[in-house]
Amino acid sequence: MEFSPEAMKEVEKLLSRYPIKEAALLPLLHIAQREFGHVSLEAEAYVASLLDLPAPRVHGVSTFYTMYNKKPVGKYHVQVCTNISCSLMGAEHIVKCLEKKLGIKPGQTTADGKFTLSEVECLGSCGTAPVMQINDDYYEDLTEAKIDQILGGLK
Amino acid sequence: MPKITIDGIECEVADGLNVIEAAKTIGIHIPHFCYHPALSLVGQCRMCLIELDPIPKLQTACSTFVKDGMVIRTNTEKVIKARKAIMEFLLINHPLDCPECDQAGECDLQNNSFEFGQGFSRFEEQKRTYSRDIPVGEKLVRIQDRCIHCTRCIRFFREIVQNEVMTYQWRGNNTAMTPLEQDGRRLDTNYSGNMHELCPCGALTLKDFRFKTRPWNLANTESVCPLCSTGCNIFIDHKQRKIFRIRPRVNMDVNTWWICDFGRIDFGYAHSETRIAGPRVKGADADWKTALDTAAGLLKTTGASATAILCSADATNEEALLVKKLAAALGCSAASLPAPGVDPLEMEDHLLLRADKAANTQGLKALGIVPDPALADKLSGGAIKTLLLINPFNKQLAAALDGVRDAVAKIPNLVVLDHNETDFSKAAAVVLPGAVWAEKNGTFTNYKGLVQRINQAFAPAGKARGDFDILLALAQGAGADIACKTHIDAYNEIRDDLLKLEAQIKKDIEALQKAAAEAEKA
Repeated sequence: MEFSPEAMKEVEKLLSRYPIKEAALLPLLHIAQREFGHVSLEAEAYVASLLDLPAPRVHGVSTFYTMYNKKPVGKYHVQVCTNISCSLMGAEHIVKCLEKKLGIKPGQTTADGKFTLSEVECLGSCGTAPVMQINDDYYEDLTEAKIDQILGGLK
Repeated sequence: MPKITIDGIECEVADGLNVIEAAKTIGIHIPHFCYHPALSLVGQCRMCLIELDPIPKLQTACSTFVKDGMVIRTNTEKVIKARKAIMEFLLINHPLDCPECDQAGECDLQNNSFEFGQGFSRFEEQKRTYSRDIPVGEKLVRIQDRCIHCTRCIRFFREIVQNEVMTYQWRGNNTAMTPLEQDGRRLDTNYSGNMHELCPCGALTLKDFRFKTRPWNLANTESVCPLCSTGCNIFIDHKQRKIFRIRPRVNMDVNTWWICDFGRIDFGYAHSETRIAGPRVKGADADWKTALDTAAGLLKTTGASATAILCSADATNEEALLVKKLAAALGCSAASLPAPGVDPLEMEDHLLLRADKAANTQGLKALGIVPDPALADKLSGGAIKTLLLINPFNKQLAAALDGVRDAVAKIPNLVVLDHNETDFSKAAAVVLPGAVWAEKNGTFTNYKGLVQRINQAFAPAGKARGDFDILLALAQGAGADIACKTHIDAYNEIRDDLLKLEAQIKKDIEALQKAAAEAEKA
């Protein structure tokens, strides 16, 4: 398990930015997630070795942040906000629709490995609630019809 | 030295103390959970809040260090109220299962709740739970429900053992302390048992001690661990002549707060089925008088040059004195054997373990009983016809005897004084059942020359007798006139020799340290 040469360049740049190596832990975990798809125990140990940290300390950090995926996710990671504003605007219904269309519950991945459904906390877009995020893109003012359209467009 | 006022009492305390330690010096107890004098400060349990003039908000006593003129209050209404609130918070998810918890009776959480809590909770919701009874290494059991997240266990591994294996995972509502064993990190270090004493609630209990008895049913005898030359100070916790557990006893000159897991768990030989049941002569059970008379007679039969006394370094100083007197009466030599190498897992380390696996090597040395490399040759060559073999059960002596096992077993006048059966006791002409360390009074001298007292927790098992009494009878039987009839008389006789050695070792250590410091400079 190793980072690509491009990722290693990024790591070096990050490390030069901080007085102690440990400070670069969060960005390195992000790189690990990008490189390996999710942050496994092996990935934690690898990041720990890059930063001269004990692996348990990296594990403590990575498990605190929900945005590091500890399990493999599908090609499309559907993250529905179920925080207050979105809930008021019907986020629960949106989750139900997605459950029905994808045939999975939040936290699960479809059998073909294409979709993973997650409930997440505030995505910071309350003005356009309900909101979901698929990989790095936001989808706003959701309705059932819109969901059909969005999912249909994902190949 | 800063002058401070705590609860209206003016006092002068040492520099660099925190408020918890400063208050301790004048007998004021500030409750705390996460603070431990050996570990770094985290200030996260909030139990030690105090008022500090003129700061309007409460301060944590653990992370506040004394300065001249400080005025501290630990018993104001504000502090009492804060403690009640903190206790209520800490107990929100705690199962309060004291009736089935091993920690009950010696639990910081229980004690502080009783003394400083409010006795009721406003929390009506479901408590958070985890799966119970998860093994943590081979020595401990974890019950995460009880944990109050003080992080002492994590800091212990990080800072004391210097092998970080514990971490908190899923921090937040589901925080769970978790050992993460990979890349050669083992939770079963030789010190993991200490987490049991460190844990301020019952989240980490000792597998060996679980559900055996309640701590308040145990008598606690102050003693010293016999398993290596460090001489860690311990409590022997026992009931009805049976040891239930060994706990560390704080001694800042020796073991600080800790003991190793060998010392904590390896006491089974005191109650094993192989304890020698009674005196034997030529394989047949005998009474003590016959056995002692026969032994004393045997020791005199073959003449001084063919007679020897071989003694493990687990003998107390007082017993060693009698060994010397017995040897003088017989005109023979008394020695131990050079120590062979030890199991790498039990090797010397940065904390407590020492390679010398006998309790009293230095004490024997002070009295002139030293390893004799020529003795092994004499034993294997058959030059020794009469041997008093004391405590060959001792690991170190047993290993040293390994090469001459058969030769020793064939010695015609073999007298064995020991607490557990060995090949030697089975082959011996006379067997004298002795006592384990928990059944003895006396002193051990540790590797630094420190003379430390061991106290008898209970009388020797069955027909066994204290080694001191046995050696006294043998020496008297051999015709020696011995003035010291008790271990205290014996100690008084050798006190000066022991103290001389202590001073000498201290000087040697200082010289070594000085040389090392100079070498580093150069």
